[in-house]
This record gives sequence, structure tokens and C-alpha cells, in this order.
Amino acid sequence: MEPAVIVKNLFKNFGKTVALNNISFKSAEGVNIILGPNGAGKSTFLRCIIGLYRPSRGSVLVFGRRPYFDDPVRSKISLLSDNYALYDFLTVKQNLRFFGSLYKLSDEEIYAKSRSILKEMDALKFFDRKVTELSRGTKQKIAFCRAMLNDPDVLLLDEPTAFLDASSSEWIRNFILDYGKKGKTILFVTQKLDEVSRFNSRLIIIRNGSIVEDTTTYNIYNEIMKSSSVLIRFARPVKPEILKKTGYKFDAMESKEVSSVKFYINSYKDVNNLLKKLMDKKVFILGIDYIEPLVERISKGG
Amino acid sequence: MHLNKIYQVTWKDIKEVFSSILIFGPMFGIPLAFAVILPVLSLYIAVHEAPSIAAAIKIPNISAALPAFKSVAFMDYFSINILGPITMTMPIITSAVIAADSFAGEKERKTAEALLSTPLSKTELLLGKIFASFLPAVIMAVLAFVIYGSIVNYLSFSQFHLYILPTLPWLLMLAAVPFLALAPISIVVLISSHVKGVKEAQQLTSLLVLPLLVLPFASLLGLASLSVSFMLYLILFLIIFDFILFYLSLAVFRRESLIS
Repeated sequence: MEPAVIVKNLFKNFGKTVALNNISFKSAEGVNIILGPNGAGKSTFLRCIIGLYRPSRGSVLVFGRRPYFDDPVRSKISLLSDNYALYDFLTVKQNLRFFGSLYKLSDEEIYAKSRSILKEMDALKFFDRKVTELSRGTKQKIAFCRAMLNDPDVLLLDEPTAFLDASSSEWIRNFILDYGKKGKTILFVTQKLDEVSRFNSRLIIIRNGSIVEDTTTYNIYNEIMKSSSVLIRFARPVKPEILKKTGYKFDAMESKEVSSVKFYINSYKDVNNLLKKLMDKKVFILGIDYIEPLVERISKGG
Repeated sequence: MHLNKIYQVTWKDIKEVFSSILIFGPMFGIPLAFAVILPVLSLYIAVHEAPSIAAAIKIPNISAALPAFKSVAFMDYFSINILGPITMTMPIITSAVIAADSFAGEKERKTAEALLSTPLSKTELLLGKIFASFLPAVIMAVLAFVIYGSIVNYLSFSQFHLYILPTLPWLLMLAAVPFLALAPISIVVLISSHVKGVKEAQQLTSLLVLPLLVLPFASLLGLASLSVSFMLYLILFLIIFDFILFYLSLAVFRRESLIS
């Protein structure tokens, strides 16, 4: 089956700034995670897909049509950005009614769908409240509900769990996973590596406006962590001589005794080996962080 | 083009305006206050100052009138030629505030992204935004004409025992309001889509609506006579101008300019 989203040699410039640099991409059914540092071009990429931006060069096709020029195709797409984008002086009900009606839904359909989603997210009690009276997290829940009104075949999510509490974030992630199993295409933009680890799906890494890796969330540990590093924190300071005995290369901030150290590893399998060696030397480990070095690597490359 | 989508955009914008009395209060209050104050003022001037003013600015209708009818002639002239254009333009000027906020507000409050993500076409979006300012302007103008006409007639009947309004030029003035409103509102909406924020849009709007004051001033200075033929030509000109302007707006309008 033809992918829902096909992007060919996409460039997007803002004056002299190149936001997207020759991106080619074919979506897969289910969840496609797009990961990258700030300013990598992730949001611009989504905006090009839904037709908010006109490509400077190249093409964006959704179901074979160009969303910037072809208005009806946007009824099959939905975008939820990190900014909730609701009308503050209207009530939740009025907001949802407005957006739903633009998708030619009847009031009954809009209210039934909204109520069912908001109830699941424990936000139904705010249905008749003005948006301006709500917390940031609640606004984001309402915005998620708005994005689901048209039952989109292509769902674009730009950091949808930002500002949400842990249980709501978990609910959204589960909802997205289920939604992806219904034959829908989901592009999920995030900067959070711990969020990525909760999906078993395709993973695209964008850096400086280009796709630098097209892999899977499983492979992020298997492949991307090759020649990577982990940050280990100790309960008690450790002398560098002890660390040298592990046989792994490391960077330590202090020269005498260190309370945390960055070890260079070849694969995720080295983590167990390294920890065992440290524990054999009576080193007490407080925490191990693979995310921070990984984020650094994804952000800067290398 | 779906009329319901245009209606929904208009409804949403009007609903936002009416969500705060601080926005719609002055917008409706000022033209309606003018519709009450100006007829009362005109009667005072007609009764006490008409002969001297008529002599000073040489208004033919009043100068030619017999001394006993000078006040009536002045009230008649003043109500139609001076108050008419003011009543006609004031609602357009105040409702331009909505037009200035139309796209600039969406941009500033970051709601444009959600709005443009829907299947709304450029035409539907522009028309929806234009109507959101156009309808209050026209409704306000009709209300202002009814109030001002009633007060003029009440005062003239109690003073002179005759009704001055409605006259054909006065009715044509009312008929011209929609066509007169459409042009500046379309321009302001378009400008609103190209500026960075509401403040910038409002500054430019205040400059743009100034030409609307040409009509009352030209009439006051005797440069334009608001006769039936003048009003008919004006309406015809405005219809053509509005169409050209709308098509130009559609050509110039860029969805992308709403996303910062």
C-alpha cells in the first residue's frame, strides 16, 4: 500500500536560513517517531506536511495530494503542537464545536466524541469552562481532543505530552499506540529520549534540517549507543586509579576523587560489564544515565 | 466554498469580541452615542444659530429659505448632509478594531496554526474574517440610523411640527453602508494578515480609516452634495471597487504569513 505521507527532496528556507535541507521520507503505518534537538527542523517538517508552510523546493504529498494547495486533503490530517492553540475567551465546548464544524461534523457528533475523549482524560468537568481559566496541562488535553475530532488518517503530534502529568502522558502514549494499530499514520515529534523508549516503532532522527538516521526505537540502544557513553554517579567519591582498572576510557571532572564520571562504551552490553567491574572494586553506584550523553550525541552528531 | 465554514469563522470571531464588554462596549457605544448626541446638538444649532451659520458658510438651500423656515432648512440640511455621513462612517471606523485583530490576533495568540490546519480554503477564511467585522459595522450603522432618524424626527416634530426624515438621499446613505464598509474592512483584514501583532495592525488601521472621514468633511465644506445621483454613483463605484479589492486580497493573501 502507498505510504500516506511521501516527502521528496524537501527544502524549506526562511530568508537565508535553511530550516529543512533535502528531506526525503515515506511514512510507515503506525507510529513514526521524529527525534531531534531544538531547532533541528522537526516542527517545520510537520508544518510542511499539513500545508502550513509552502515547500521552498521539493514536494510533500499526503494521499497523493499537496496539502498546502489542496484544502480538502487537510480534513484527513490533524496537527497537535506543543502550543495548545485554543481560543482563550471561548469555552471548551465552543472551541471544540468551532473546530469540529470546520470538518463538517454535526454538533451531536462533536459533543459525543469530545465527551468520550475528555472523560478518559479526566477533563470532562471543564467542558463548559472558558479556556483562559484552565491550567496549561488541561489546555493541552483539550487540544489533544480537538486534534482527534476529525478522526485523522495522518496524525501529527509535536511534543504532545509537554506540560502533561505522568498519567495523562501515559494515557496519550497508549492511545497513540492503539490508534496506530487501526491503520493510521502517526508522526510523533519529541525531544525526550525516555519517551522514545516507551514505543517500539520507527525512529527518525533529524539534525540541522536533515534526516540523519532512519531506524527503530529498539535500535537506538543497539546501534546508536555504539561508541557512545554513559554517565555514572557514585554514592561515595572514587579515586581515578580505581576507575582506570575497569579498562574503559572515561572523562572525569575532578582529578583527585570523582563523584560522577562519563565512561565510553562500545555497546549497551558493555554497561553490565562495566558495572560489574566497578562493584567488584567496592564502588557504590547511585545512578546511571545513558540519556544525557545520548541526547548530546543526537544533538551534536558524532 | 462552504457557506457554513464561513459562518463558523464569523461566528467564532464575533463570539470572541462579545466575550468582553471592554471590547464591544466602546465599539457599539461610541457610534450609538453619536446617534443620540448629534441630533440634539443639531436642533440647538438650528434653532439658535442657523441664520448666522448659513450666512457664514453660504449654504444655498438655507440662504434661499424664508427667514421663518431657515431653522427648518438648516435642520434638514444638517441632518442629512452632516450627520448622515458621520452616522454612516462611525460604525465602520469602530468595527475596524475587529478587522485589525482578525489575523494579527490569531498570530499573536498562536491560534493561527490550528485554524490553518483545518480544511478551510483561503476564500472561506478571508470571507469569514471580513464578515466578522462587516456585520457588526452594518448592524451598528442600521441601529445608529434608526436611533438618529427617530431623534431627529421627534425633535423636528416637537419644534417645527414636521418630520424631516426619511428622505431618499438619507435612505441611499444607509443603503451605501455595506458597500462603504467592505472596502476598508477588506484592506484592514489583509493588513492584519501581514503584520506581526495586534498593536501594529491597529496603528495601521487608524491611518487607513482616515479617508473615510473625507465624506463628512467634504459635505460639511460644501465640496460634495449628497444628492440622489451622487449616492447612486457612489454605490455603483463602491460595488466595483469592493469586487476588485476582494479579488486582489485573495491574490495577495498568503496562509504562510499567519504562521510566525
